[in-house]
Amino acid sequence: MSSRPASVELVASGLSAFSRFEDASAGRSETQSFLSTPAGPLFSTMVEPLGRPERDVGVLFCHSFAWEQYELYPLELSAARRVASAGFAAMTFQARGYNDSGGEFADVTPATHVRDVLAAAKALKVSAGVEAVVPVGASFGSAVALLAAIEMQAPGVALWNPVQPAAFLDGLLRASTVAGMLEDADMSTASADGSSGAGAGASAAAPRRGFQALKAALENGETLDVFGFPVTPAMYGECREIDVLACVAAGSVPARALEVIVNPASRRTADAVGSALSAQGAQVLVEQAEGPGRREFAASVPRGGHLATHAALFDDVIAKTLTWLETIS
Amino acid sequence: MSDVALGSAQAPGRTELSVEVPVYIPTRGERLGAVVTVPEDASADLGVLMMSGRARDRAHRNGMWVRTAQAVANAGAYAVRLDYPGVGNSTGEPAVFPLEKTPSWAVEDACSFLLEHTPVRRVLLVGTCFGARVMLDAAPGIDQAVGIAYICGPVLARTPSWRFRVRRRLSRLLPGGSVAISKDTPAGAGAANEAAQRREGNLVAEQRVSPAFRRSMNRTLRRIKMYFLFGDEDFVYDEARFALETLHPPKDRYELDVVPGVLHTFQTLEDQQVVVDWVPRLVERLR
Repeated sequence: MSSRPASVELVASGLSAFSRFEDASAGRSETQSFLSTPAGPLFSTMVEPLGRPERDVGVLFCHSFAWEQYELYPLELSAARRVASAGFAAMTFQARGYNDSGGEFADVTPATHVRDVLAAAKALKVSAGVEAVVPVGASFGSAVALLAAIEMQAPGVALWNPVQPAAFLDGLLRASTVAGMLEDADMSTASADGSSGAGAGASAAAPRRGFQALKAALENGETLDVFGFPVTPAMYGECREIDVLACVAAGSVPARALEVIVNPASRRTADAVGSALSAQGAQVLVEQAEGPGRREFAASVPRGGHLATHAALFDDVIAKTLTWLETIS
Repeated sequence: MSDVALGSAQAPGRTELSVEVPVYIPTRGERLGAVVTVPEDASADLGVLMMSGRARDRAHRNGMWVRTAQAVANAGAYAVRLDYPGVGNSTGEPAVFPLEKTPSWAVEDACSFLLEHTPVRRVLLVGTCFGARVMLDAAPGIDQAVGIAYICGPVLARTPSWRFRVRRRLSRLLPGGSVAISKDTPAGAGAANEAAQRREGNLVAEQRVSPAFRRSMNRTLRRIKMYFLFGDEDFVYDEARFALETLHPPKDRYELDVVPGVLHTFQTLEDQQVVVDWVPRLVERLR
């Protein structure tokens, strides 16, 4: 670096030249930035076609909750890059409390997710000069996408592996219970072997709570540590209050909707949501994603599973979404 | 709408503000996603590079690296949290990287970027799990590296050596033979390692230090100190103890910190806070 005295502004200004790049071969540019919102900064990645967007809608990826957001971020960004190459302005972002956006994870609720989606959508419209935004979400993010789409009267919405928020959170608590049981069994085996480090028994000192006990704890006002993320009574309560089907029945739904069923376990919810949307006059397309790893998608994405190991599956989800997007733009 | 390049992120639970700049670091035809946290004293010459476990986001679980970066900046150093090649905001094809051939070049390129575009002249490399191995492999090639924080990183080889494979095959062919277990283990540690490997579903029945780890550590310790951090119930702590007993590195070239319990999954808020507190303490010693 030059010999001029360094100031925060000078250094940051120099670094900011690297916040954006153009990929001429892929026909897109990509910019990382922090969006200024009333709730605080939101980290975002804006991916746009080089030149003006060819389409009059932008695509906004609405992420899932906690560990699942962490696992699915590569899929969402990969999707944003693909749709941008196809002429759409696209954005991924991280809600307050998540990762680079900072904030406190303990403040996260479905309402804060939707709040930040609306703020990001506004920024996407202004930045890309598009008329409307189509939210896309996976798992818990699908509920967020749908709620946001209703609120902002989006022309369309894409739901990957749709789920009711309450069912999602129940699944997370169950997974936490099972993981705890496996860890306890593991440590018991280690203790019986006389192996492992000191304190093998100490880790099992605090009794593990079962699924119902965890729910009772939340209902009694206790915040739980679930896979390293705080799950609060507020988060739990809001999830229980939200019925996606009721929201669809009461709101102004998008004219077009796509459901991509990845994990077959989400078929029943997808059918219910699809029927509700159709009853409200939406044109609903339901697709089944193909590729290895379907049953591991979303809440039970395996450790280490990511783009490299689930590439075919992720490709199919993105391809089906892109095909649908092209029909509504 | 937004300040396209600059962002001010308030550290969770803190009142200080640190400027964070997300960047794409040019590397070998692709780009690495990263966020640089600028300390209040921008003339600081110490930088901290952080990488999480294999193919994980640069923020780490529940934003652990975000909080650590803020704490590092508060301690007066630059912080860079780095995406793996092909993952997160990085470009390029995603890949599964083997333990014996880590993408250490990404760390080298990130260091070069930091040295070129900030006043940083000394670098502390910090990694958890697989990320620790990446940092260790990169360190010998980085003249400005002053330390490696090796947090819950694996040490043992994950595939059997050819000698062991031959012995195992021969033992099956001999009358009354059974699967051979390597006896090249310190007393007690062998059984512990077998139990540890069974827990992890690892089929290796041989215990040996990873050749890449051995090589990188030997090269690194010539001029760079290693700072180990483990939970005393981590299976990788067993591995590290075996390696230190086997390789006998000079005692003044490394430090070993051990906390109670399991640390290597960072699956509790408490575990994450251990790291968030430990790294800036190291920074303060190195400043």
